[in-house]
Order: sequence, then C-alpha cells, then structure tokens
Amino acid sequence: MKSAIDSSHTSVFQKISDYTLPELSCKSIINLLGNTKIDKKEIDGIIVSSCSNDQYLGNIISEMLGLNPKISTKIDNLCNSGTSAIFLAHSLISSGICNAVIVTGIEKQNSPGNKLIWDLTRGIYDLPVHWASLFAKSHFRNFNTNEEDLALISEKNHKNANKNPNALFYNKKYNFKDILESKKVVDPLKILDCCYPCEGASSLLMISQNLAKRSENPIWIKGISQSNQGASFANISSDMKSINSTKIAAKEAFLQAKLKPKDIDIAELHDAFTILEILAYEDIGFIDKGKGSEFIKQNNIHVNTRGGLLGCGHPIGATGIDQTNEIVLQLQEKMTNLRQKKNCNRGLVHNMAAAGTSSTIIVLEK
Amino acid sequence: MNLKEKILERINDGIFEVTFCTKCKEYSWPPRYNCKSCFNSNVLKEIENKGILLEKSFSHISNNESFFGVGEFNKIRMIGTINNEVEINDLIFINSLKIIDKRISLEFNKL
Repeated sequence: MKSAIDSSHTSVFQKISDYTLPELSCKSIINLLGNTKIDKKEIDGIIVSSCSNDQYLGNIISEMLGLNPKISTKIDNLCNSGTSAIFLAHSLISSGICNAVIVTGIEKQNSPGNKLIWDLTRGIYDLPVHWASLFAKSHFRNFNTNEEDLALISEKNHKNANKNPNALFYNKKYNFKDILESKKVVDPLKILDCCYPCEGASSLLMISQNLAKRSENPIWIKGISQSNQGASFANISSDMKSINSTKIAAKEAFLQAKLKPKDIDIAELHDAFTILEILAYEDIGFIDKGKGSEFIKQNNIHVNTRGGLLGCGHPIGATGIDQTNEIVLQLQEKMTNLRQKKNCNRGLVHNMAAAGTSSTIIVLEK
Repeated sequence: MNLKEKILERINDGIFEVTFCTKCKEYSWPPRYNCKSCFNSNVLKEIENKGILLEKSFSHISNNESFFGVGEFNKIRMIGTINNEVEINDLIFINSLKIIDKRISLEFNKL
C-alpha cells in the first residue's frame, strides 16, 4: 500500500514568541486542515516531531483540536526528527493501520536538541559547528574545496530565502562579499556558513491510497529510508570525507523508488552548515565524491528553493517537515510567489542529525 | 555513582580511563557497561597514551579560542585542544586532562 502527502502548512519561523509548543502546533494544524478535503474526523494518527522535554504533546494537541486518533506519539531524533516522524506516518499508512496521519513539527529556539550532551567524545568542543568544521577541513584538504565554494552555497540559499516569507532571513540580504567577510566562528566556517536555531511549526497530512482518490493533488512517497550509525562523533565515517548514513539511506530510497539521482528535478538538502550541502551532493550521488563544489556551479537541479536551513533558520523538530512541504508545494505547483520552479516531477528530501550519525532520504513524485 | 561520574572522578585524580572488553580486547568511548560486540561486562582501563591526529581546526568562539583536533587512541576518537605545530597524521599523546563544566578537557601534544 502506498502513502501520499495531501496537504501542508508552515508557520513563519521566528526567534521567539509567547506561544507554547502545543499552541504553535495547533495554529499550524488548523491551517493544514483548511487546505484539505479530508475531514477532521478521519484523522487516525498524529505524530509530533520535537526535541523539547514537554510531556504528552500528541495527546495535548489532540485534545486542543478535538481529535481522537488511534495513535498519538512524539518523535525525537535531533535534527532528523521531522523526517523520522514522516517515516513513522508512512509505515502506519502503508501497513494499513492508519489512513490519515498528521505529522507536526514544533520547536522553540532554546531547544535541548541544540546540543547532544551525551557525546563525551566532543570534549569541550561540543557545539555542532565544531564537528562541521572538521568535515570542512577534511574536504578542503582532500578535494581542494575552498571558502569561496562554501560562500556560493550560502549566497544561493540566502537569496532563495528572500523569496520565502516564512524564512527567518526573508528580509536579510547577503551578497557573496558579505558572506566571505562575515565573522569567523570555527575555521573555515563563518557565521553565514551556519544555520540559526529558531522557533517554528510545520505540519503535513499523509493519507492512504484510498483517501488519495479524494485528494486534489497527492504527492506520492516513492522511496523513504533512514540510516542510523550511532550517536557520537566517534562513530562518524573513518575518513571524514563522507556522511555514511546519507549514502546508505540514499541508496535504499532510490532502490525503492526504482529511480536514480539524475531523475530528481528538485531537492531539499540539510545545509545546517554550508559544507553539509556539498557533502550531500556527493553522498546522495548527484556528483562523484570530491566534486561537490563543481555541482553548485552546474545548476542541474533546483536545490533548497525555500532557503535551506541557512536561510530559513532551524527549528529542529519542524525542519524536516518544512523541507518536505517545500518539495510537496513545488510538485503541486502551488507556490504563489517567485519561488515556483517549472517542470518538476520528482523531488528529494535529505534530513540529518548529530555529525551525520543519522540521515533520512525521501523520494517524492507527482 | 554512574559510569560517567566514576570516570570524571578518576580524571580528577589525573587518570583517564575508558571502558574495555577483556574478551574482545576493544576499548569503547563514550563509556558503556557492556561490550557492544559480545555484551560481556566492560572494565575501566587506561588507554595507551599514544595516538594519531586525524583532523584539526581553530575555534574563534569567545572563551574557547584555540586550535583543536580529533585524535584516535586505541581505535577510539576524541576531540582535544592542540597547539598549532601538531600536524595531521602526527603521533600525539594526552598531555593534560581536566574537567570543565562536567566536560572532559583534553590537550594533545606531539610525541
């Protein structure tokens, strides 16, 4: 049995508000249910994606919205939470347990998910930017990638964010020079090579093949896979040239979809740091290992049209869902602004966590 | 006292121990009570203080401006402070060991 995404909604990402996590989620879900022909009474699953310590979020949100689903639960898989929730919803639907599952991602800026305390291997260098910088250094040394290559990624994604009213940096303009001259954080990464933790909510409705007959424009999940390679920096790939979990998940997702990277028209890649987008080009298979910096100049496919994590901000639990919503809206041709790309039939979502110890790949098709 | 607390206490005494499986002869880090291969109980054991620097960078973050790198000792990896003279693939040893805000601060020097 297949599953499809029927509708989507993302709120404006911001630094902080007075809303609680359930309130942020409810606002998003009410908008989501306004975009579908599926009745609220037909919802039989709700999966909350969040790294917060808040208890019983699924049932609190269900009660606030008058939902009585068969299953209500929360997923925490750090930055990879959103697509993990989608993976669970897909499993529930494709197994026949559920027919209509809401996936909702919510996070506050001060989320405990911003740092993995358990990982003693990082010592006093325990911010995500520290491990990301080591990947960047390795790529520079082995493949002659440079700071200008990284700046091209940041420039592209920030420009895309200027077309996305939900993006944290919607009104912030940065050119190539601004990026190269921005404040150094950890060599070779500068402040504009790094995403910004923020608050946000993003939701989507997944449905069964049967319910999809009533959907105006269902977008089908053709392949979905996740690979988990541990939790600590010590467990990353032996040579720091690749994100192994991404390679494994991509291979499996393309196999399920009976497609190849060249079949993808548009992709949302996990650019928490600019170097990660370059690694994603290579590890997903869009281009050979070591040639990621060439891929950005080739413009073969559309990448991070919503602005990526760099331009949108990174509300951890909501990110993977908003990435997926972007591909869904692009394939549905529902973009009402300059962001709509033409002739896109197939899209890909790449979401990852904690030094690349966990990655999800979703292949979507009209 | 949990495993992490025991290790931190030993570090306060100047001794750096990690978990070790006497059957598989494998060290593990972060620490765990059982070997991930055979599930036998691990013991605490000092690592051989001779490793290799795999990668390095420089942190500009205030209060922590320093060169740092990832070192591999007995097949386990950890990040520590280095001086700029240490190069990738250099043999290194742990020169200094302390606890800062419940985190383990290591300093690697060239052998």
